[in-house]
Amino acid sequence: MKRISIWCLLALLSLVSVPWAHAQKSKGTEQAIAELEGQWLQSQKTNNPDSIVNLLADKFVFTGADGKVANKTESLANAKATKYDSVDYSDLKVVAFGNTAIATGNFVAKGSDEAGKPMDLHERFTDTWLKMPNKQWQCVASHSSPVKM
Amino acid sequence: MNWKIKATITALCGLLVAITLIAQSGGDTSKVQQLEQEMRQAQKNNDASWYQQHLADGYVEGHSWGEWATKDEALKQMQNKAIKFTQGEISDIKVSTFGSDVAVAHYKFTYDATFNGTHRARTVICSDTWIDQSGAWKLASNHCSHVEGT
Repeated sequence: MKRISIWCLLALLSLVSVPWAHAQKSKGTEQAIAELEGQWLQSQKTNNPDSIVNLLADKFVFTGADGKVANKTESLANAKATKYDSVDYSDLKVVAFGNTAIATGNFVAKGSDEAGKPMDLHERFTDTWLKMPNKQWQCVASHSSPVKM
Repeated sequence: MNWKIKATITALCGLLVAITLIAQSGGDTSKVQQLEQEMRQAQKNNDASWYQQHLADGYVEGHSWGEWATKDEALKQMQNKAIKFTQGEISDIKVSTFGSDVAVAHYKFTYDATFNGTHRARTVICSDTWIDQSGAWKLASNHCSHVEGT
């Protein structure tokens, strides 16, 4: 009887621990992605896009609020030509799906764009992050659309 | 075993693995393209059950006019008869696969629709993230922006 009780207890513990472990893993992913989004923001605040080269996957695709599409090389070149006077993210949310995570948020920025024209942006973005075979998270797609004020 | 036989078996195994990987990748691409077409058909038909089955829990949708929708909100929109798509065509679809369980689709979507009495006819450019959850492809996110001049 005692042995059965122990086995029942172990089975119960394992049932409880699986969702708990899953929740902990999701929480870890959400925190990791929020930190990477913070690094991205910092690169914009300091006008230093070189610091995000490793955050973008080789197959990275950026779709801008104007509908234009850019690959990793083009995105980094555009970022280098853009000068931010102020930039911030708000309402950042991350949803984890195993080794994939979706980050959404608001983006406000002022400065001059890659063509040297003044910019005053208020956009929403969706970033798709993927855990690569080397265990490093990289962004594979980023999409922005303007917020109608 | 003769070294020639060993080498032949090794080469055949490598070839088999390569063919499987290529077939898997191509299969995922065409599966996602098929799902995108199904989704547009479901949208035209206000088929909320398709969305219920194919949107991942945690799904997020970014509209071209700057609003967000969760899975529940997207399902309510599908059930809302005041939202009606009369036309919707996908073009320029490109699917990038990442391993065997993640795919990102980029495409243009030209539609004519009425949203609660507001008529919208435009072309948007969209990014969709699909994930394979235990053998079933689910849409994790959709974000569209208006293509200027349309």
